[in-house]
Amino acid sequence: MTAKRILLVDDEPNVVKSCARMLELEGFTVEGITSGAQAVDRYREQSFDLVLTDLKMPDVNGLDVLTAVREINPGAAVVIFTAYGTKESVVEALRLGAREFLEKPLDTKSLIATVRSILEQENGAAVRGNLRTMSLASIFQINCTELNQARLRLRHDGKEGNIYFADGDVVHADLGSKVGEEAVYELLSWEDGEFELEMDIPASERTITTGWSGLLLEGMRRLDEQSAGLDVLDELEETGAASDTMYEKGVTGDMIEELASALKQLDNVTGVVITARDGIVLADDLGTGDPQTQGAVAVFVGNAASMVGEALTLGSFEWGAVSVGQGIMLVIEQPDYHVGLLLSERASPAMVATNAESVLAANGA
Amino acid sequence: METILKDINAIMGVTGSFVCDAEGQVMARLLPDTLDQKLLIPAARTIAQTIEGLKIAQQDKIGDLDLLYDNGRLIIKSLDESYLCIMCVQRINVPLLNLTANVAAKKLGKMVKELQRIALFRSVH
Repeated sequence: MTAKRILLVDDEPNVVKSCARMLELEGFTVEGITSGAQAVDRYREQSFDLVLTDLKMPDVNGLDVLTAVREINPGAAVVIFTAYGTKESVVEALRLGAREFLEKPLDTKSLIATVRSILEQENGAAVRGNLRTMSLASIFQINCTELNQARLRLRHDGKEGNIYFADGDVVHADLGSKVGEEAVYELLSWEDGEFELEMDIPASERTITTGWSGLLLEGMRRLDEQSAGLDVLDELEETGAASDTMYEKGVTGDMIEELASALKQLDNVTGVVITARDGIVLADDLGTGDPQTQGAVAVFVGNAASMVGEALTLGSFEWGAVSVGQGIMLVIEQPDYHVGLLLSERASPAMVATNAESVLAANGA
Repeated sequence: METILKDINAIMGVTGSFVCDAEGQVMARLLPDTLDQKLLIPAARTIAQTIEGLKIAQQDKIGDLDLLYDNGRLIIKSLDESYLCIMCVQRINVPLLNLTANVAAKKLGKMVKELQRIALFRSVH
């Protein structure tokens, strides 16, 4: 594991030397600097896990260092120490985002404990994972409904992109030269890749005004458009864990097509779309209408309903009906996919759901 | 609004109800004590965002949502700029519920609009 890097700033060389020694003995990599201005320049050149700075220094003081460092990196962890701490300076430092305020002379134990605690928090603050185990759609939903302010960093195939969340929405995204919605749509097409979610990181600008749900639906629509024309089994092979599970169960493209045809035979069913959890349409029998849009709606409603059910302690989602214009879409939750049935206006969704579940059971779903 | 929610909750099989606006802000609620109130906020936001997303995707009017779970049912009624959410048992008589809930939904819709008009007036002045 790489040693954590600490930038230590104090205008007294002896303090820098002794503190650096203490921290290095604990396994940290320390860079000591005796000028606030130089420290800011160094921070600009190199990333550090933590900045420890004295408050009282000539020219650029500790609060100036704190402000400058957090301008460079809004999530930077900064600890201020001083022998002359007033209540006002403590309040001001915390207001500016300092993590801790330590009194000089520095006590070895408390310094080490503080540094360890903050660096552990830093580790905990970043949630890491892979898009194969947690889809970007789920990350969107969680962060937007929890009103998180966060930065999501994504890496895939040598590319790196960022998505920023604030006030229940996606506010900014970048990926190479792309910014805003276009960056989001490309990032949504990544089926694999590492992600890192860091909390309390604000966006530098707002480039997205479309609601997160609209972004997801458009992203899914584009994804399906790109994959249209691929063989269903190829899609099954190429898409995520849900589809892998279907393969393991021996579900083939023909079986899914047969299931769609059987569901279409049910009374009051005017169209069928079967969609993998990642939004890929596996089979459809719609007559008129766009399978990609209807498939996206089925996945979207299914995912949202599951989340709402969990929050309101209603248990597992079974089926849901949504009235759209003159028709109804019935979404039936299955372990590996969503079934979307378009119903005539006068249909009873509960009745159709019961009949559809019999067909699903008969077809081994 | 609470009075209207009380009328809805009085229907046999209804376990709780709440109103949220298009942003997912809870405007009124009458829910069982056992429900973690903190979880209501993300639930309301998900509901609002889902319906707003569906409006964009389908480019059409979105009516009621009827969601069935293994421990209950959630019926969501659109009130123009807000949503009435009714939690109930799985086997509730939906037509019977609608007799009361549709009238209540109209009244609540008017109230929400009025409240939003007042809020807008206050923000301007």
